[in-house]
Amino acid sequence: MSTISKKICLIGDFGVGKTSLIRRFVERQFSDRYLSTVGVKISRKTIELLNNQAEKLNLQLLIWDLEGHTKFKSIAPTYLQGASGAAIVADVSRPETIERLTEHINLFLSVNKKGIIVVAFNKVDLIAKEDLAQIVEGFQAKAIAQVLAIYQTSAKTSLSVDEMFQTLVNKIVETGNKEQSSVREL
Amino acid sequence: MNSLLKKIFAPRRMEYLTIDRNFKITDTSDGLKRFADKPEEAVVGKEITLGFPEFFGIEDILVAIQQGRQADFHLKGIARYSETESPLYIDINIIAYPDGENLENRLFIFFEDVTEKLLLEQALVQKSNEANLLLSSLSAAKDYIDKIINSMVEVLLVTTLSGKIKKINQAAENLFGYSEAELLGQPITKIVTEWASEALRARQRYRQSPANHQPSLGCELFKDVEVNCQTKAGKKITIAFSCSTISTDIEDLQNFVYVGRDTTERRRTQEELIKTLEQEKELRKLKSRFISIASHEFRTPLAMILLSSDILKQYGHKLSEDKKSKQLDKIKVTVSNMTRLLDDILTINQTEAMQVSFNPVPIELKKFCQELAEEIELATNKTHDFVFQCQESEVSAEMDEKLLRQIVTNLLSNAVKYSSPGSTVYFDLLVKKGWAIFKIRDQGIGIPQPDQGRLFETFHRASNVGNVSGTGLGLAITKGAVELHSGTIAVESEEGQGTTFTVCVPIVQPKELTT
Repeated sequence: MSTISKKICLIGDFGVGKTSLIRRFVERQFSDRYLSTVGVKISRKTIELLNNQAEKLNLQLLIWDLEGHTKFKSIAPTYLQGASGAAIVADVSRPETIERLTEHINLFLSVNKKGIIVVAFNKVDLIAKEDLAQIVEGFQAKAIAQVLAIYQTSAKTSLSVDEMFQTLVNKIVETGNKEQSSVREL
Repeated sequence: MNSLLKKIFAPRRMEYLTIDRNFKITDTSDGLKRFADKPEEAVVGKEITLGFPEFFGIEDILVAIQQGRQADFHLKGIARYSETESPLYIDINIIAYPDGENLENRLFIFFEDVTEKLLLEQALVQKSNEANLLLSSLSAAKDYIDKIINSMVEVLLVTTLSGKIKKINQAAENLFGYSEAELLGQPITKIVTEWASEALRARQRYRQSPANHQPSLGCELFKDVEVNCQTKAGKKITIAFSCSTISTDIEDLQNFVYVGRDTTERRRTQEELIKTLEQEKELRKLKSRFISIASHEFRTPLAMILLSSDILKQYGHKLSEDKKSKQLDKIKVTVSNMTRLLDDILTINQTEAMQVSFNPVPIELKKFCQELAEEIELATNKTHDFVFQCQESEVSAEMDEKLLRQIVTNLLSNAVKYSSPGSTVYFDLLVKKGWAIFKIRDQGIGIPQPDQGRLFETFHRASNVGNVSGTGLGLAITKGAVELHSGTIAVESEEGQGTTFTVCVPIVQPKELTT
């Protein structure tokens, strides 16, 4: 069975739950304790897929958990090099993190013009359902064409976490960024 | 010694490796493996991305550096986690160096252990982020509370214990017409002009012994107490305030928080309702009194008619013609009295419904009044002396004869009714600046002061009328007739001394008033 690798990044403000989303997806775990990420942590997750010829294929997903954006420190573009896709994360209980979504999307696209993007409105367990619709609708009006899908996620309850990563992976494989997964000679 | 040994045998802070054009490792320093994600893959001959996943995706950059198109590339703060050991952080620098053998650049990749620095940074970032999250949630909570306070329909004021305003909400700004800046630091008396005694006492009690209350819980000092307030524009309003104490951020320091509703309109409506109810009650009382008077007024004459008709029926054949005639006269007079009473009721109804017609015609007043006085003197069997006076030789006027007759007849009849036989009734006619003034004065029982103001109300009779019959309609009818002439009627009276009615009517009626 052949194996291909893909790099994806999780981008967003500090404390929006990027690490928790990855932990939920990779390790199936969640902790309420907030531990801020510095630098970058790379997690691996292998997913079994079927290729165009209906053959089994192993996808090794390299998930980059980047240090969150703060007013003192922005996200370094060097971390985004070579990523096939990104999940841009906001905390639904902090409007300022939603306002900055577009900024993060643009940063990712400036490095990876053909990158695939999903948006995660995380921590939906903190907000009433009817209020949530209002918040998400407000953002959708300004959404950028490259955004593949918007998910209302909760790393705590695991709501839509797998679906979000799965959608991102499916689209990456479908568009087939072969040049990134193949070995190139110097 | 120990620390020196530790330094000598401690792992090196920096390691390196080199790779070929196929991204395969060609050389490594001895301690490189501890920096690898998968140490078993960090050996010569293996592709670099197997042991170091961070190189995946940056192949283009590696090519650019190798070809001299890019000087170098850095990746900072790459974390390596394991379940057993504490995290390791590394910085990676990639540079090209000429290879003497192949005449092409080799790629050197240096790894530096920056764990100490990054752990310190992590602690700082953690504190800073936690503080920012706290600040963010505090500011969101404040924003939320402010929105609630400002969307309240009720007025909200916060003052110090001495009454200086510290905060007001939007409803208070709207109601009092002041901006928040204009009221901050000002005494609450700037808007509250008069405190209800209940509110004053409650605040006073609290100020004197705040320790008796539980400051941390806050306590309600008074509830829904109406106080008088004044807006910036000077408008007087009534607000029902509730007042509680609240703790401030300084320990043991309390503030008063007032929440109030504008009850001005409600109070006015209430007062109007009470007034209307009182009027209604009074009217019911008057009407029931009228029914009892009217029934009495009708019953007596009806009994008299019945008696006379019985006498005529049973004893008619035995009675002389003269006695028969007297009985018939009695019936006639009684019927005419009843007719007059019915006329009065009808007139009052018409006056109230504005249905009385007003037809002024030329009239010589002096002659008219003199003849009318004589008529009444005769009709009352000359029980009283009538004195009519008029200085003018004649008074030409334009008035409604029927209504004028009603005015004068009612006033002269009253003068006779409420004074003793043998006393004098004075009737003066004066002319002054286009007005005819009728003064009718008696020496009778007079009208008590409290009744004088309500004398012209329908069905109202003075409290001292005793057994003198009457409907309480005469003066109401008179007033209506005077007003149709655009005139006025006034009374001066003293109990036991007599009464003077003065009627002033324009001699010539303005054209637009005639109907």
